[in-house]
Amino acid sequence: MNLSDRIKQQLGPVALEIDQPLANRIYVYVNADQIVAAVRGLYEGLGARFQILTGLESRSAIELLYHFSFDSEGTVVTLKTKVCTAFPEIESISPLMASALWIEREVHEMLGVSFRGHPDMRRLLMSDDWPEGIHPLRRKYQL
Amino acid sequence: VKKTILPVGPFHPIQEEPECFQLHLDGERIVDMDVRIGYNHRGVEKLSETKTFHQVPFLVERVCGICSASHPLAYIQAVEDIAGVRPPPRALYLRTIVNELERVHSHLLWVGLAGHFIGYNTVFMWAWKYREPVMDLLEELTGSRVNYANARVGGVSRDIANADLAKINRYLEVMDPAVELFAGAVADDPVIHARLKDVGVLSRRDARDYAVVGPTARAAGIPIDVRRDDPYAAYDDLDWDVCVEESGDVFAMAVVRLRELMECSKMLRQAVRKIPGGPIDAVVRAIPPGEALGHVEAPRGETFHYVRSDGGANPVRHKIRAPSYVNVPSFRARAIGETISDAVLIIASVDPCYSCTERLAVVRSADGQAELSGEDLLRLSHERTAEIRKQYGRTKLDELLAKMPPVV
Repeated sequence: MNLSDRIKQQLGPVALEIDQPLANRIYVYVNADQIVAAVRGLYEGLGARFQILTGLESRSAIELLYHFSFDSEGTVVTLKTKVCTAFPEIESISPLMASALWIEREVHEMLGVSFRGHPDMRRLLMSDDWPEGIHPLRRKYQL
Repeated sequence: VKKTILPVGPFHPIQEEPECFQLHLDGERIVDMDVRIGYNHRGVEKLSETKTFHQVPFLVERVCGICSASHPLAYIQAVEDIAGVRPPPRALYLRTIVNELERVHSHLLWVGLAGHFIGYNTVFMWAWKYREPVMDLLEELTGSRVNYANARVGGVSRDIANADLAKINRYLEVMDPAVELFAGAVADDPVIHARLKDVGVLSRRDARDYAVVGPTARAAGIPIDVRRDDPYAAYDDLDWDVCVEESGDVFAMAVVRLRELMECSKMLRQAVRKIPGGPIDAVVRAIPPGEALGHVEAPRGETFHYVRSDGGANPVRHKIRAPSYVNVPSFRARAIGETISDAVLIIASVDPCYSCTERLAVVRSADGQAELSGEDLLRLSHERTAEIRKQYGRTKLDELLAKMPPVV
């Protein structure tokens, strides 16, 4: 069975849509409240390696992209989800893996996304005197 | 229990990447630790959104002075996927050659520093003596010792004449026997074993939990290497092996890097022999809307870039994840239970970009404050090696080091 079928089987209805623009790149769309189930499916169910989380503000929402590498297949699978721009919040995946601890802190300070259940939400990169509530990767923050 | 907190870092003028490690000690033993980063945060991701697609490589090759070929390449591969462009074969070979030369100088730099940390300063001088000609070669081939500005979206910016590429072989003639001799001497030296074996062990489970990459992962028995797993540039055309060790200790991390130096040499020789002629650039003008990601095996592990385009002149989002970002937090799993004299070594063993072994203060909870310098931390490590060397007397490695020609 090819990888995208295995993902479909593993995630079931959690995977809303699967898109494969290139042979070695797969994008899986999921609802934000299903993110832990989706991550668990790829990480524990299919043995993927967590690469990183990308947060970005698009026109209508804050998008969160969880990148996983299937090294033996040479394929990168990205879980894509959206949270609302005004009160961005999502369940933390750090209880599942230590590799998410830093990046969730980073997305929190850069975009203002809250990660429910993260054990340590201190700042990671910005200095201590950087003002509260200003998130440099938001669109309204201009250089 | 009276706990001592020992902050290591954050600043040193020659460091590329200041970090601060807070070691919580019970006597000499590390019982907990915390890492603070961000001292050198330059906002490259945000800055990238203000540059055109063709300017970004010049920005990201400055993310790190050592991985200045890997970062732009990962970005460029992402943009080429968005544009649907495949660079000409000669360009792919030139990218491979510059990236492998980068790995050679990076690994030699690490070998030298590791030697210095455990008190073999001759190794430090010796390794850097062989590193210097690689920097000279890169300057001759690309125009610069660092920040080569070699790869560009669609190909490479400048051709390298085959006659100049032949100089790489001449360098390898000198490097190969030196690395082989050295690796052989290290492999069964009792003092090196005593200092590096079973120190800072990264279990396979922790390696997966922290999602470490590169030599750090391969030393812990995780056989991943982007060059083989998701091949790019010309790696698919070359015959080489991924170096994997099982023990996950500092020794394994040293062995993996030394073996990789030999693999680099194998790849470079083949690439110089097999490089095809032809154009070096598929001209790319506008980048259509879309998103893509690129990853490249940098000397320290996978570097990851995600790019999104809305069809304009600049990326609207550019995410960068350097290998040290996932390798550094794994110290927590490796350092707890070890002693301070091994701390420098464990921190250095993942080749962070570069750790803060200088400017260190001991803060005692009850009886005031005392200050120790980074040199004191090094001294602790050197004393430990000296003690062990006394037990073993003169070893094969000492014979080899004594025979090395003086460095001028």
